[in-house]
Amino acid sequence: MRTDVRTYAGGDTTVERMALEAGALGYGAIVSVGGPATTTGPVRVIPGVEVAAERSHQALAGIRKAPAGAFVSVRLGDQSFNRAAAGLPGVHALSGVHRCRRNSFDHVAARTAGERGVAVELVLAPLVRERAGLRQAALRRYEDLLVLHARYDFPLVLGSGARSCLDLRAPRAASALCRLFGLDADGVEEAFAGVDALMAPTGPVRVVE
Amino acid sequence: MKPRPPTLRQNRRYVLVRVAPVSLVPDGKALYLAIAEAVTSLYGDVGAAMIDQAVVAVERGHAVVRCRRGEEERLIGAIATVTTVGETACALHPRAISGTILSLRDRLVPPPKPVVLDERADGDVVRRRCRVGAARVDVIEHDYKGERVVYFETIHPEER
Repeated sequence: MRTDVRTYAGGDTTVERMALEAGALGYGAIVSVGGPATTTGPVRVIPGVEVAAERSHQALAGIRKAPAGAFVSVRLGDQSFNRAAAGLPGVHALSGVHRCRRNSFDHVAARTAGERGVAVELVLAPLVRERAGLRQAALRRYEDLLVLHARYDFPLVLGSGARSCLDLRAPRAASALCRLFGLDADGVEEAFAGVDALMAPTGPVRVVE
Repeated sequence: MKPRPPTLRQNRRYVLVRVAPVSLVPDGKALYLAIAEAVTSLYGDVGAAMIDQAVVAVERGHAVVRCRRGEEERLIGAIATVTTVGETACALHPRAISGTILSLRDRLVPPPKPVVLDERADGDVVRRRCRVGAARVDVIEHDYKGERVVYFETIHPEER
């Protein structure tokens, strides 16, 4: 099942309409930041929480406030924060790589994310909406991220960053956009399917008694 | 001018794209300019020359865009970055690729026609609510700047 990991509630589109449009494009679920947990037709809406903080203890407080069943992502910042954020409990994904300074998401953060199974979000919005410098910077960050992904094998998840249903992009278009920075079609499908594994991680069997 | 024999002609591919919102009926030239700007912005002049894109047809909520064979994926990538046609916000969703326009026309499913529910004029601005299909409502605003869609919602169960 394909999941668009980043849509926002509160734009010009209702959550139900966003889900309808996403379903028409071929998605089975969407994560709606600020939206409710619901199902519209065949499309499941997963509530999303994006935590933006400058210090790790502030981020931890934000993560604890997230409702049960929400997809929690932490917005990346400077290098020391990113290293800490990758190891915070209850985090599903790290977002905003395209806004980071060069090398602020480094090999240490990548290794921690890989060990703890924390995903990194690739958002298509900067590639779609921006032009020239900002788009080039986003492409560079994503390309750099793929180098770390190949080495440390942390999961990737993919989202449109849509605030309106007109911002949603079909999986085929997303695949074509991801090819710009070197993510192949298999990688795109894996990224779209990665949310389920993040929400219900498999672990070793624990003996309770 | 005598046309080239078929074996010397360039091979083309045609991409069928769905235009969203369905209330938008884009002008072919405006659509071509939007796609050309997106292609040039993403791949530069050299890439645009290689892709050699053109809008062949705009009909029933869809458009057929032509490119050179082998450049379809790059064209789809560029089409995904189109956010406005003229001054109207829109999205172009790729649906199919083919070597002939005829086979694309076979796959063309026309979207439901919007039905105007009501219209309200506030000074120079005219707002129109359109029902689209069985589950959607679009609010479209007209003013001296042109037309834009200001809100998308689902139809309330009581209104169905």
